[in-house]
Amino acid sequence: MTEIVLSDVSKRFRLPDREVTALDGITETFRSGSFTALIGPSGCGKSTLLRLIADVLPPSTGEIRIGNHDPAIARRSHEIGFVFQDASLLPWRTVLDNVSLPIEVAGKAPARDPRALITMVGLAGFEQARPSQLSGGMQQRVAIARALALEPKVLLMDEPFGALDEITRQRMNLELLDIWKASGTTAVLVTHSISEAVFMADTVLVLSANPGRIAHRIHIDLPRPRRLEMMRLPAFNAVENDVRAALFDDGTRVPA
Amino acid sequence: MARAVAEPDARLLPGRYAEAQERLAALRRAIVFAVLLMGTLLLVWAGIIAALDVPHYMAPSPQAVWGALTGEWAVLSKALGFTLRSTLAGMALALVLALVLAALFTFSDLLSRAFLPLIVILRTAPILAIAPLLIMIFGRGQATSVAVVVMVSVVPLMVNAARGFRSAPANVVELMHVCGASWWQTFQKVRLPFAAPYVFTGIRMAAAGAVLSAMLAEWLSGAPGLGTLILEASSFRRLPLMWAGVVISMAASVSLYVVTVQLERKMTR
Repeated sequence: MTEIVLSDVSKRFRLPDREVTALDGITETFRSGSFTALIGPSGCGKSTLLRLIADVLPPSTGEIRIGNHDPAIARRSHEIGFVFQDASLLPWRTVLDNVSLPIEVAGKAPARDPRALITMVGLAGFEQARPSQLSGGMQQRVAIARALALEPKVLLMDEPFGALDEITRQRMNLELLDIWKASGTTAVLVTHSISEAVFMADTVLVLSANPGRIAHRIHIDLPRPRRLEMMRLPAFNAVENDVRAALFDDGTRVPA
Repeated sequence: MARAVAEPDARLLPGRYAEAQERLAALRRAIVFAVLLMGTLLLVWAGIIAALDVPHYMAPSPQAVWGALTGEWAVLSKALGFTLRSTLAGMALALVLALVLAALFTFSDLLSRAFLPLIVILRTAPILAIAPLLIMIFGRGQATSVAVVVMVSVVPLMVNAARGFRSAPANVVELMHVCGASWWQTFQKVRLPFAAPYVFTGIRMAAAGAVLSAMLAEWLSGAPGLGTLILEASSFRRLPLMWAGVVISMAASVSLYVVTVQLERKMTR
């Protein structure tokens, strides 16, 4: 079981003339196998929080545990999958070789069959294509397949669908929910879209900026599996409005 | 378990054959253009010599240079071989040195801050001033030529390689880190391939000057290459031979440049 536990985590960045507190006093438990969305104004430290969990950056104070160990150990034992806003593929590698990259790096099992992953994200037949031959949505699917190659226990996504059009985005959302359900990973999604957060997550964490803090926790009680039709239901809109109210309730509102 | 999302069709991707045909046609056009240009220049040259009745001790006609090229081919080709060997050995050595230095600078900011300015300053010192020292160290043979080529080539190669190693997108480097990759794995799988176009730019920049530097070294050391041949032909007023040497050295430079461009195309596809 892979719970992510953050205890009183803060992150400060030193700039030449001053120190900026990006995150302050974050205490949160991401349940094993849960799906959490992080939403908040620009500069609230959402991406930083994700990078702290992934051991890209060290926290300034506080402690992070993934499962029962340190993020650095989780990272080195290949338990973390990361999807960036841009697909970040290697342009000289084929789709198949891009998806296989983490397996090459790890040099061992447990690994999923890259071809099966490519089929799963709907790109069967494109194994030998280069990233430049694919559309943005297809590239992002390759990135997701790559993130899943080592069967990560934790899947961290930094606005993975931010650059996609609305139709592709909703398709990818549904697809991702299926993949998440099947793999049983603990998923954390950073997003700018309120409806995406509500549609995907069990829990939406609303962050406030300067310094980044968790301002609200909103539990989404909509049944699973989620279906696109749900987005028209009054219950869905009600939750959306809750998130919207929480998001605009932290001083970012333009004064009247 | 996953439902098929959209079904894009892989057969719509452009084929390799069509791409190859297009490249071949472009190459043919380039060759025809180059031949026409060279022919025109030669005609203009011969025309001016004939029309203005330029004496042969000022500038030889293309026919005279051609005569020297064919008549003295044995001497010329031997000199060319010497200069080319210095050039290629120097560039190969400079490339290895530059890649190692650039990799070290990518690995450590401290090393970069300590040594980069030193190397750039060393490069700004005129070769003419350092040459006596180099000749004392490396002697009057090929080694001095190689050393001069290395000195002139290593900086553009290194600066470009270092920029190339840093050109890997931050997200990709972070991705490798999250995958648990070692520094070497990231270097070899990500930084090196991303640097390839930059390294080739460096090679092209260095190639343009490498033949000249080898000849410069020969002027200073007297080693038996094209540089020395041109210098001696000039002092004996054997102008056709001198110009034949110039033409050959230019052809060597251009060929080296074309080879690097072709290599770049092959390697960075």
